[in-house]
Amino acid sequence: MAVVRSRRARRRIGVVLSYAAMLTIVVFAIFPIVWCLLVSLKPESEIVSAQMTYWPRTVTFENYVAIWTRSNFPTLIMNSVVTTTITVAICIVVGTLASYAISRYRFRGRSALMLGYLVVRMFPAVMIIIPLFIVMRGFGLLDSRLGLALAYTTFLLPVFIWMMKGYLDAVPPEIEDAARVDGSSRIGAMVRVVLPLVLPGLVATAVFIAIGAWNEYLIALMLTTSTGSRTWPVGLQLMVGEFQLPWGSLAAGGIISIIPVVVLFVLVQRVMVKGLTAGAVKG
Amino acid sequence: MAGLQLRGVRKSFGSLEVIRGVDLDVEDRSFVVFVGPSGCGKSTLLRMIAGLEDISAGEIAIGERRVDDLAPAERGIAMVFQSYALYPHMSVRENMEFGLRMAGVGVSEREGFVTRAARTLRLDGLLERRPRALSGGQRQRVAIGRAIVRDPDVFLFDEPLSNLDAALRVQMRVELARLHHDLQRTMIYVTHDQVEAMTLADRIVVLDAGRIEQVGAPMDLYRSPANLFVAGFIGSPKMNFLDAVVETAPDGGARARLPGGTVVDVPVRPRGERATFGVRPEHLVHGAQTAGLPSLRGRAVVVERLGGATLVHLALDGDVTVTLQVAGDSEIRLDETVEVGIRPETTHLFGPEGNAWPRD
Amino acid sequence: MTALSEARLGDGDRRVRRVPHVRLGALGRLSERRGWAWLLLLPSLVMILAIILYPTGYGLWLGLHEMRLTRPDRDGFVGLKHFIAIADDPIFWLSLRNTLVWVVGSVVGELALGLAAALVLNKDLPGFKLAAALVLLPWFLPNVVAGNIWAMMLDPRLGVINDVLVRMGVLTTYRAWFAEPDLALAAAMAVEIWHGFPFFALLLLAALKAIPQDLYEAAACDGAKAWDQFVHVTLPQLRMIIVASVVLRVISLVNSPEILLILTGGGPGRSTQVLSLYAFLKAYKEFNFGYASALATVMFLLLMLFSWAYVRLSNVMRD
Ligand SMILES: Nc1ncnc2c1ncn2[C@@H]1O[C@H](COP(=O)(O)OP(=O)(O)OP(=O)(O)O)[C@@H](O)[C@H]1O
Ligand SMILES: [Mg+2]
Repeated sequence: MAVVRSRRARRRIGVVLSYAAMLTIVVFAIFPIVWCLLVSLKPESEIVSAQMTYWPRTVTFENYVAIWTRSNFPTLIMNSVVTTTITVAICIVVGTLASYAISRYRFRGRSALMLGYLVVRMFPAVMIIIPLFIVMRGFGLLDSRLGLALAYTTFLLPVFIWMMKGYLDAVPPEIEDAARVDGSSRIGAMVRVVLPLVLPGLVATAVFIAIGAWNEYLIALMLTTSTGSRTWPVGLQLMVGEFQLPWGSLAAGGIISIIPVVVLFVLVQRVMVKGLTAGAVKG
Repeated sequence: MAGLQLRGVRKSFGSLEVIRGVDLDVEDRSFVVFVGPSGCGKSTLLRMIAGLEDISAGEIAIGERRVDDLAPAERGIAMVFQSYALYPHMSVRENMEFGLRMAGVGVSEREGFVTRAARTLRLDGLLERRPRALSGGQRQRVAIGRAIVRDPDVFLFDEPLSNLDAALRVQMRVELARLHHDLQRTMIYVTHDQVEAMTLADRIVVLDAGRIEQVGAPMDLYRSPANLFVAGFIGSPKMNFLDAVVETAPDGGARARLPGGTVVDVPVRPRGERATFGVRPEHLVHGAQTAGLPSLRGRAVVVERLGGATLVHLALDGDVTVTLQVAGDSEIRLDETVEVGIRPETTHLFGPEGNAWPRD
Repeated sequence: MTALSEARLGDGDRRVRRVPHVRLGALGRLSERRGWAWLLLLPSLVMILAIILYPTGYGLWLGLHEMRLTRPDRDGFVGLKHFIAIADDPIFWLSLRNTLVWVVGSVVGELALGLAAALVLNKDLPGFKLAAALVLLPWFLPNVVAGNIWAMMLDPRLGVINDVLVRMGVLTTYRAWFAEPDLALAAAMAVEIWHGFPFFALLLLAALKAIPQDLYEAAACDGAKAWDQFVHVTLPQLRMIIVASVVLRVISLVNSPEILLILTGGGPGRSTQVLSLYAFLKAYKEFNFGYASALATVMFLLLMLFSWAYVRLSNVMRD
């Protein structure tokens, strides 16, 4: 009896410790984000007061109003939306076709190609940025949203193809065979059967790519020079550096710009994690 | 309406040749079963007929139509897969309609075909379900239903019953036989199950290592296997094989001397001095009937009671074993010494290269 | 069973086809041809060639040329001049040293924290799935936001971290984390570790979940203690994924100067100047494209060398 009780007690202690450890890690991970949110809700006077307040004494949205109405932040966000959309559109069209071919066909050079898509990631960003700058200048694409989207495709298309291939590999080829025997062509089977089945994966991949494009800073810094195409990370950082953006506005801007990231992530989190870790499980 | 002809068909995956020259004529409306050991190329051959694998050489015709350059969609075939391969994102109805939609059949007609096929296969209440919500047997019916609504010239089945439990397998086997009888369409069926092959087929095609070993009606294959491979493959339990030394008998037949000295006059024409002697376990006799027959003696080392029949494995002298099939209520016990008689007309001789010596 | 006789689907003469043969359209036909796979690959190959391989080749070429947007008169082929200059460039060597410290420190920290997080989160208790998702969030935050949040939190006058540390008695006075050369790189590394550890947590958690439970049961039967289990069962199973994720992470840490550019810009002095940042500033501030390209080439070569040696070494160690 005593043994049973002590074992149960030990298990209970184990559970409590597990929760304590889990909470510690979660707090560590999201405290900065929560802090940013809190700061964004404080009035300027409270932020700069020598007496640190953790919970805002007065909650205000003036920071959000300020960054949205008294700077070019809406334009920056719009540029980012357009650039991201173009990037994702290119990746979906070009990348889906390529990943389908790689997943479904066995042809000479297939593994070399897959490896090639990966090695491309080894090139330092700087190494690509300079030539891109020169080439884009030549084509008049410098400081344009299309040019920036094309630049993003350089590093996001290979990621898209890799991730999509994982989702496509999970669709049994026999289902496609069945559709072909049933009267579909290859492309018909792809459109009517394979794509509907990988749709969740396609969405997750697209979101992953979209977040990558949305967040990108370095290439945008190099390739955009005016408000016409500048994306929000560049714009926000410029405001911080040159105009001594007040903390409240900075925090509000940060929160506004990560809301889409967080929302999209939450929506497709499960499928996306599966896709990102497919390789890890296979070893 | 549509038979099937294969002429010199070959297939290689890279340097590996898996189908090594197959010639075959399948009669219209016949039920042909491909059997053979695992990896012999049954599925590959079936997929080549379907157009799912390119052929490396040869010709394939369905009806009078050369099809090897046509896409699977255009060959007028339907196929049932081992894994069922239902479309998971479509309801049972949509699964069955898919082929009709592709063929441009109108909505109202589709409705009619699907309803009738569903009634045939007892799927009436399930039409709006997704495949995920069906049992294995029901999925199998949907897969078959999807094939029959298309009214194909040729049905192809790749081990359609192997994922079902034993009872369901027997039931579906009977239903498939009826279906063939009612539909009157050419069917090609791949299996490695003896019983399916024997019971369903009009003709069995025995394949080994990418080649056809023998084609024929089930009982012909059972009675006169063309070679050692077919003899060993068709029939269960497996045929007994013993080494034999052969001389010509006075009547011109082959007199085979078995290990231990037993002599059997096999009614075939001798073709050499060494041969493999074959006799099926169910053709060996035991007890009173042995009188006057050449016989073998051995110790019962394993006794398997199957209920209806009993299998007795006998150890003869010189490390040779022979299997004997007797009635289920036989009283043979382990370690008992058993004498079995051989009826010469049920025996076979195979030459050193494996081919059966022909009967007179 | 009599229902089966109704399988006589054809009414009357069965020789009349009720379902017509399919005929494919032109595109359908094309998709059945052998070259279809290459046709599908074509757009991506063109894009990769046009916007990745060509620029990369151009970048290598640039490393052998003088190219300054500010001094177009000097443009031209200069051979290995930049590479010789790099060998003599004290800032290069300093940046290389900083890169080493930065990458090794960050990867070790991220891996350790990621592994700890994965072990903690690998429990089947209510709430742990949600926790695993929340822990991933930092990884999805843009560098600009992550960097500025931490800049705020580490602020010498108003930063919450100083406040917390002083209250806890760890510090006596507020510190200017990014103003002290000895401290700046370490502070930046802490930020990077926070930002990057979810990557490891994600992969390691998936790998942990994939370890067959019977391995542990077998080990438990052998009387293995928790630590022994970890060393003899868990770690060997995680080996491959650890090796692979470390390569990927090192590559992206070496190649991306973003977080340092935002946090410190390389300062104070050059105490947080890493190679990628050096090369970027050469290009972005001085428009010295030739020299910057040569620096990038050197980085690329070092990375290749590292990846090769690392994969080699981890294969050797397995045997
Ligand atoms: N895509 C492929 N690439 C290379 N080899 C293949 C491929 N498909 C099949 N094979 C090989 O061809 C041979 C025949 O395979 P097949 O699937 O036709 O055998 P099977 O007779 O259907 O066997 P089973 O009874 O196990 O289903 C096997 O040796 C197999 O390894
Ligand atoms: Mg098979």
